[in-house]
Amino acid sequence: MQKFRIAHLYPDLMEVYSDRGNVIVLQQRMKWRGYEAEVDFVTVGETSTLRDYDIVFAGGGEDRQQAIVARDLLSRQGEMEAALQSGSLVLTICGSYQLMGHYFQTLTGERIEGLGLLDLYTVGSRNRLIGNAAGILQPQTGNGVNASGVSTVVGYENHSGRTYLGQGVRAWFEVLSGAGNNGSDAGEGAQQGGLYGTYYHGPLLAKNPHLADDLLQQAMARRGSPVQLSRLDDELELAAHRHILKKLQTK
Amino acid sequence: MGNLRPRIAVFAGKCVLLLLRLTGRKGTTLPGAVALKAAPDLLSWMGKQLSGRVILITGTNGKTTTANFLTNLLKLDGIDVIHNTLGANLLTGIATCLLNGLRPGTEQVAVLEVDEATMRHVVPKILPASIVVTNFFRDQMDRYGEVDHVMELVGQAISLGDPAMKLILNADDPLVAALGAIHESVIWYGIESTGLDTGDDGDVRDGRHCLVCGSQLKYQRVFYGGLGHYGCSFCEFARPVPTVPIMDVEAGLDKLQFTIWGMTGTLTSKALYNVYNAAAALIGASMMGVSTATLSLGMQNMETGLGRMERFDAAGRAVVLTLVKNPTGFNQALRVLETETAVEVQFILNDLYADGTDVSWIWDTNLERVLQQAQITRITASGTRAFDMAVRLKYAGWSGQIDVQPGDVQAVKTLLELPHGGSGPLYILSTYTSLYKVRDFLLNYKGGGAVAEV
Ligand SMILES: [Zn+2]
Repeated sequence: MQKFRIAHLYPDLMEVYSDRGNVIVLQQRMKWRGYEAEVDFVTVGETSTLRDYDIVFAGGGEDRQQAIVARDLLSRQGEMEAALQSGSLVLTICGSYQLMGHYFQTLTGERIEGLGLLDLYTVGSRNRLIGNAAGILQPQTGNGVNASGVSTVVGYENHSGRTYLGQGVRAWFEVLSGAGNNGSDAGEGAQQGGLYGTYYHGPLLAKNPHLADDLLQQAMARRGSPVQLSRLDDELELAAHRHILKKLQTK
Repeated sequence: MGNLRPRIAVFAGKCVLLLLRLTGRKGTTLPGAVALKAAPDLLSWMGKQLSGRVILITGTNGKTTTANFLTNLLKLDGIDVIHNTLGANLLTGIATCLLNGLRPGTEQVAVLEVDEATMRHVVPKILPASIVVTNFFRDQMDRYGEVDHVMELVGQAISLGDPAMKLILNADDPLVAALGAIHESVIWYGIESTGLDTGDDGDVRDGRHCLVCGSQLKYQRVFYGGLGHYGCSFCEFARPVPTVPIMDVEAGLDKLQFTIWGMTGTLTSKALYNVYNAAAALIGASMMGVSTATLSLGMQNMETGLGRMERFDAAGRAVVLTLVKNPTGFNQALRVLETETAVEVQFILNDLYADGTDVSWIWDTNLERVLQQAQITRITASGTRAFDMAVRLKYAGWSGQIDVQPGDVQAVKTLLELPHGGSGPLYILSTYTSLYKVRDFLLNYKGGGAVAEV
């Protein structure tokens, strides 16, 4: 059987929000289905061919690290585009989500250039948006309600940047609870083709197994022959998911 | 009568304290809050009474244990010590503790554990003789923000201190070592030699990049987390040579052994981080004038204190209770667990404010390793976020049954009443808000479901 390959970008620099949990979840869910799932770490200065990967993942980091990552990411612009073109799925959280946009403007007015692969920009602010959060999948994105029938998404947000979406991109989730992209337009995250970004960590996929499977299913589609991933027992994951929804409702 | 107001404030605070006691409550913060309201410069006044005799302890992990060690050493030497025992380390807790213990005109010494973000409010007022910084790890990002920010806050606090103040710093932590650049007088401690198989835990290493130039740090040796023997691959930043080297750290049965100043000490704990806590406490005690003879005696069988790898006999069952609050401490607790046979484990994961409302950090722990290495016979996931813990265990590769028992004391009770297959101990790894509740329960547990009145 062909290997399922995941690239984890900058695991040493973009690590502070426990995003590696997402990679663990993706890998395990493929392993449990009998696939050989492999994770490669790619960090600053290392060569890689991102289009060789089914999923490319990048997480969030501290400001100091983010500046280093931004420079390196820009040098991978072509590679990233080639990966998306070839059908690789790219998932970015928090800091790297911001870097997929046009730019990030810091509080001091400094402008960090992004890749511009997502039509959005981010502005720094003094107040952090922190706490448990929930959204509902936008049905139009094509990956809406899945086999398990769950369409809610839960996570934990912790960001000071406010992200504003342009015409060419749509929010990934509609905010049910929490601040979302900017605290005002009720959208959270963004999706443009096979490129996804969100502020939800927690880690995102651990308590949203349906979302993990949607992404995996999409990533498998690049292989040509349609593959239907088998169902897994997600009782624990969904119990954790429901716990957050309930917690937010009773707040 | 410039100092009348603080005295009135002390009186007001003591009244509250008395009132709380009469109503059967502990009152670790309210009296201080009242007194601080009455006299905002209360801490400065208290600092004057204790001039030259205050040691502050801050850092991510080990504050409470270091403070306990230090207090024990000072007491052994006959010194009257004021100490915020219950870990109330914010401004109001510190004020309450001083209010409670301070007797002006005596030679008391104060050992105060202080929250990292609170340091800058305490240091300029108390003007401590010395500050211990244990380590910096990622911890409760919802409250403190990023590690860089926490370091900045502590650095700022240090710069507000007396120039003659002594810093007692952990040389093995590059983030702490960076503080050496901002203050003249530093005593460094670090592990110089050990036969222990420490290895790389795959821990998140918050300090792996040089704070001076941003280049990668190279480690000749990693003890745990980002702690070890390191140097920058580009500039001159490197581990400071310890003023007080910790030598020959070795493991014995249920204990650790180490040598400082040519004297050998023992810890009734198998967690390596406690060696650092012991060293910092010994240095602090020696600075306060504790005699070598007392230090040598005091370093035998050092006890880590309440809820820190604390051992209980719960109606014949060996139970080990320890606080976990971030990946580094958690991984260290797991390393200890690996040394046991047929062990049962209970994780109590809460998400109240004092625990940190973001429980994501459990994904940065090395549960994968412990599930492979340790001989675990049963795992229970408890606390307000029991399901999160269960999911983490599932993805870490635990193929056995995961008992999900939300709650804390009741869950521990249930577990103790189950027939247990193994002969090994029960390890309870708990976040802050269940720790003392579970501890009280264990102390009074008589078996068979009977619990003595607390
Ligand atoms: Zn350097």
